[in-house]
Amino acid sequence: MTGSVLAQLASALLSVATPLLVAAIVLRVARAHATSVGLGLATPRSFRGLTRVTLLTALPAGVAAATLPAPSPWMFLVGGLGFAIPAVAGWRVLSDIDRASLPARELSSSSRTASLTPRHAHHYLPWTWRVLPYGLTLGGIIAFVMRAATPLPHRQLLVPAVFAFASTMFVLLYETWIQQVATGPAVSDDTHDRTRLVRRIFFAETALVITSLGVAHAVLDLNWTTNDALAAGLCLVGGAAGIAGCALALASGLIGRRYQPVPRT
Amino acid sequence: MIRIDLNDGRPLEDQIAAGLRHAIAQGGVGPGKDLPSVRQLAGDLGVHWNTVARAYRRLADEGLLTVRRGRGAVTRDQPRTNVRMTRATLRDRLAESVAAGLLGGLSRKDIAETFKEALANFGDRTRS
Repeated sequence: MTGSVLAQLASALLSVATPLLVAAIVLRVARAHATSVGLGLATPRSFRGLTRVTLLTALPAGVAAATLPAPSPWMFLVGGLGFAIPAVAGWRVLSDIDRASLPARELSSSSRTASLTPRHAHHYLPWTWRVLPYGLTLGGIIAFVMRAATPLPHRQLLVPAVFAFASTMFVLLYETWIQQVATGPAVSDDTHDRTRLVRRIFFAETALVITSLGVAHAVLDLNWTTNDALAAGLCLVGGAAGIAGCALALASGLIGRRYQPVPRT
Repeated sequence: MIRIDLNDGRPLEDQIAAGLRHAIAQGGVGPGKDLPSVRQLAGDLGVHWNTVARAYRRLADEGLLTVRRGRGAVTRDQPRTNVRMTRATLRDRLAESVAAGLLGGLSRKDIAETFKEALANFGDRTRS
């Protein structure tokens, strides 16, 4: 089996496993939050269904990826379908987790108190730190564009460009998350450490930016014909990091506590 | 801190406005200080943002806050209020409270002491 076929197989299996990985990460985050407030969170029954669908889809996707002559343009279809089929089941799992974790997130209380001190993101993370991901992304993308402007006969631009673009997406996603944690709803008896959470999100953001830009730069000048295994390995690392990053961002709405919203009067 | 109670008969907007007045009068929010954004306070209390915005606007109309679009609400250094009207309103409200106290069986002395205790909780914000 050549490196290209291995890369095809790995990308197909990663596409198929993405919904399951995302659901597993979201469940883990929601469960950790529920435990922190003294509640439990059982694995939804639909999660088993997702595992079954993933395994059933992995089989034809894997066979197709292994048998199609690499690199095959049909892999877009195999990867796309391989993702879409389990994603339907994954959507249901996410909605079940969301519903089941509601008691851990919403406090039903008629008497409510709130602080009159404004909260801002810079109270939890100095602005000098916050510019770091922006600086890294800007510098990394400028360097990427400059390197890409120099023509190379064997260059494949699509994959490195996607990874470079992913870094800006992570900055935007995670900055929104930091803002949400800093200024978002809080209940008066909330004991969770906002500073710690904001800093953990920041470190995850920085790690994701470095990983995606690192992969983008590493594969930019790589000859995919002679270094197919290395290219596939780097893309898999970047892809797995990207999936984890998206799953964490997706789970951002499942942490924190707020009072049950009062209907508008 | 501001407190609201969903079982209280008063509308939420009134409770929030009263809580803010109380905090400003007590010195919990000093003159010229920023108040939390409408979004933050609404999120913390679990109410619609429009309820908080209306309470802020009401206090701005009373001359206790300055609300600037995009910059949030700030307590005024010198509240722009009509002293004569404030005194008249206070007299009416006190009269109601004294009547309720007397009807509830309190003596004049008890009422005077309760009033002094309540007053002692607030700092002096009189104009120089």
